[in-house]
Amino acid sequence: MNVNQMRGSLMAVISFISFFVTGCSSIVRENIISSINTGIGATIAENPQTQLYEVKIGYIRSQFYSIPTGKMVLVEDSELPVAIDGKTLKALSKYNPNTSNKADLTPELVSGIKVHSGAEHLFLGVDVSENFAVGKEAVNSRAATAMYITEAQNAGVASAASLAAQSTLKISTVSAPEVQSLVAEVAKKYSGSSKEQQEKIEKIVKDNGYKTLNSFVDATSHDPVPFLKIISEVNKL
Amino acid sequence: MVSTREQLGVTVNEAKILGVMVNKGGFSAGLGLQHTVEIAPKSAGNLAISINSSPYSLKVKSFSLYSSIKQDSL
Repeated sequence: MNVNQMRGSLMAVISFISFFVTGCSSIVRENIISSINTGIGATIAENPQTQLYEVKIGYIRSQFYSIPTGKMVLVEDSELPVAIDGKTLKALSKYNPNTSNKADLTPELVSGIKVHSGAEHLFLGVDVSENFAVGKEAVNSRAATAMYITEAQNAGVASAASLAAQSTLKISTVSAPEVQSLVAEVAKKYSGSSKEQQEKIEKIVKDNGYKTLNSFVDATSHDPVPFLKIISEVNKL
Repeated sequence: MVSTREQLGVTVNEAKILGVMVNKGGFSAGLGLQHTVEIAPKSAGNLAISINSSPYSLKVKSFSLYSSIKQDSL
């Protein structure tokens, strides 16, 4: 291979890489992101952590998780110049109201991620199991507990998770419109029922730990087990 | 093989590659798996979701928030 051919090859490689580098864009930081890449071969890809392009060859495994925060270090206004050197960034953040240092602002989130690979997965990828509960109500919900119990490795873990959740779990009616609407449905059913039916509803409510129907309707929080029992039993009437 | 599951605020993307793939993330050649889950907390709201990926399947289950009922909604 002569010098010109070598130059040509080198230019081709540089052009190929620069194609990706020039197309580089910042990863979307306002979303919760979980990314797992594995394989045998070669990749030229952006490292989501450093946002720089990397070349990897051989057996490749990379995992990346990102939880957004309220911190903004780059300006959002596309018309403003965006610089990547520290001094300019600092200068921009001083004058731009769109930057913020609120790293403590994060979404309510419980997540569990399990990646398993063994010899049997060598050419077929990996087993990935991910659970996410996002949002204030979801984090405290029975659904999240059920989800973790479903995915628990054995019965002991499942029962421990269940007990822990039962001891602390409360459903807040103040910020849960779904709970409020379920309570309202019970009240509506009560007011539209015969006297006999009303007595049955009152009994269900009392049997599940509430003094009266009014105390059930006015409660600001509920233990999930009796609450769901009431809803289900009243619905059966 | 590319599998995508999407619901409001949640995107699950999985690409199993044998050969060459070019996407927004870059260029890959060989045998590989790219698995990405993206959740937008603003649009997803309150959400309990479980994602299971194995070499032969991709399952996404969302859980009903105020009961323990499982829903295969995706």
